[in-house]
Amino acid sequence: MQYTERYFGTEYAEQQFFASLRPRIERMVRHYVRSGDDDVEDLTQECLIRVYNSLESLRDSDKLDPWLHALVRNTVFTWLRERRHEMEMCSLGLEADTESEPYTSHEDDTLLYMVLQEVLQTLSEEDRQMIEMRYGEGMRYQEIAKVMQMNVEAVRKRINRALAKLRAHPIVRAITEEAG
Amino acid sequence: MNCRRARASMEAHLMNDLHPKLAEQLERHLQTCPSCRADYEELQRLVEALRRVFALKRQSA
Repeated sequence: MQYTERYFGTEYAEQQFFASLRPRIERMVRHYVRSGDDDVEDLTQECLIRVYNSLESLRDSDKLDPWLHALVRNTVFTWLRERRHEMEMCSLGLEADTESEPYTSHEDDTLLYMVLQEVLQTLSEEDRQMIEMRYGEGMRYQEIAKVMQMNVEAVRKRINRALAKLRAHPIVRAITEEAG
Repeated sequence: MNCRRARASMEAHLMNDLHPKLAEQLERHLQTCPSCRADYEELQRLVEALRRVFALKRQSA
């Protein structure tokens, strides 16, 4: 394997690398998916295969962690979308699958919460505070303006801009667009 | 109400923070504009998710 030579030097080093990766990936998968050990194991395996196939795209080995997180997140999201599609087909009677569990939106919800928490961190401290006052405390614009010592229109604009930023995240957009 | 005004009013409507007269105009617009209706529903799901995120944060605090 070309990448083996480049990244690991020996086959043993390659095996060690993937063996050490498995528990890390499994922990990441469990972070998003709580539907059962079989799903977690399948997804972990799928992620390992994707790592194996796309490791060459990782140019800077110092960025392995964020690269791995993105890969796991994308793999889980693809799986959730495929699973939703299968369940929809099943409910339409197009492809009966009696082994499948009834679909719930729990996995999507879990993923959306995780992603939102992450994306909220990309907002400025002030914007995050205002978003929390608005949706966590249910405060009105006037009340937020008083706390933040800003005018009401500025608060309204800042909150709407922050919402637009959250909505622009690809996973947030895909889930909120498709949920209806 | 036009689409631009409708989009600017959606968030306040979802939070029951819109003047009743504007709320009525927005609701009428949403009945006739599928594009704004889809936008409204998408925003509604995001707002609901944010409320749940902060509710969970409070519970775990």
